[in-house]
Amino acid sequence: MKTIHVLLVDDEEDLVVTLAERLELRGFHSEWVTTCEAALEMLKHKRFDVAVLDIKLPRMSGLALKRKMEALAPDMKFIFMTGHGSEKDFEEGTAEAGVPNYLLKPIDIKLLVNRIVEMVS
Amino acid sequence: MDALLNRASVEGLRFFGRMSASISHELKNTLSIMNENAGLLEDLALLAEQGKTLDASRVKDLGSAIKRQIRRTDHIIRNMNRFSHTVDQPLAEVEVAEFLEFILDVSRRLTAAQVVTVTVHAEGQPLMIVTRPFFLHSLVWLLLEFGMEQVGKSGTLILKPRKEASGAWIRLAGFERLTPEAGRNLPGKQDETLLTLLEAQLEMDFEQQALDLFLPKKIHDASLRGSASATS
Repeated sequence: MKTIHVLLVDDEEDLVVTLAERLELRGFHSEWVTTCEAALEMLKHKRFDVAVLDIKLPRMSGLALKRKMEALAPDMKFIFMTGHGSEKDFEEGTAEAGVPNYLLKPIDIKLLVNRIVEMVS
Repeated sequence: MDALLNRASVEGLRFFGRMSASISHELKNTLSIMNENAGLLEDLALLAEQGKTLDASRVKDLGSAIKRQIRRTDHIIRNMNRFSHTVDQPLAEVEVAEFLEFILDVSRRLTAAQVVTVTVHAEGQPLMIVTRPFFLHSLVWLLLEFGMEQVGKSGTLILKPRKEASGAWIRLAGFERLTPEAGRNLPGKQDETLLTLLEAQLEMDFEQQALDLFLPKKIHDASLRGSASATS
């Protein structure tokens, strides 16, 4: 079966490093970055099947980043993560991303894996 | 004074909500990191059960990472507790530089989201004032929000307290675009209310690209003194 490539974007480095390792243990190829700029730069050189983005990132929201990433990688799928600090976050996320692609922190790894596989297949 | 206090209370509640939401977000982040580290420990244990060698140093590192997040969480909760209790301290003596550091610590996530670094440049000597800590926190935050819109390319703002016989000045510097046009809405209605309650005064220094806030050594109007001062 083809390896699924996942890009994780969150400004909490300790989170993405560990999440990437857990996805690797489950057979995914995963890479991580902590800034929007690094995520966009990464897409210029590499191809990913799915991007997992924090909804609140410095300088740019996860949703704004998604729009820029889509321009570089139109086929890529997106999953959002959030600490759900406010109802507004949740509404913004659900309105554009759709509830199934929206995961609340702390992340349930089984749920994340299922979502990634469903989206790619 | 009652009308003024009512107005400040409504705005204060909004400010309290904003800070609480930010703090809860930060707590979610530390929980998420602990969740992933604990999850990875489980993953490694499962692999060990299947015969894969368990790397002891890796387990130790993950334990340390969890401890780090516990310390971070404890720090956030201590700040949250102190912040909450500023509401029930109508008047309190504060050391200005230390209080500014505390304000920055509570709002670190919000300033980081704007990619702005704010630092306190304190004088050597302690600078004690008797003030309304919650309203001072609200006012400094409003000024920081204004500052983050006008910050220069360095993305750095500086808070510099200075002693004066009758009180303390706090200079907020690091602007690049502080013009009469940019500052025309400052102080706004909300700032005015807080300035009155704090018996403070705000000045703009366009030449030095800075804001100067004066706070009296002691609030003279004791009508809001009260006696509540929880310390738990």
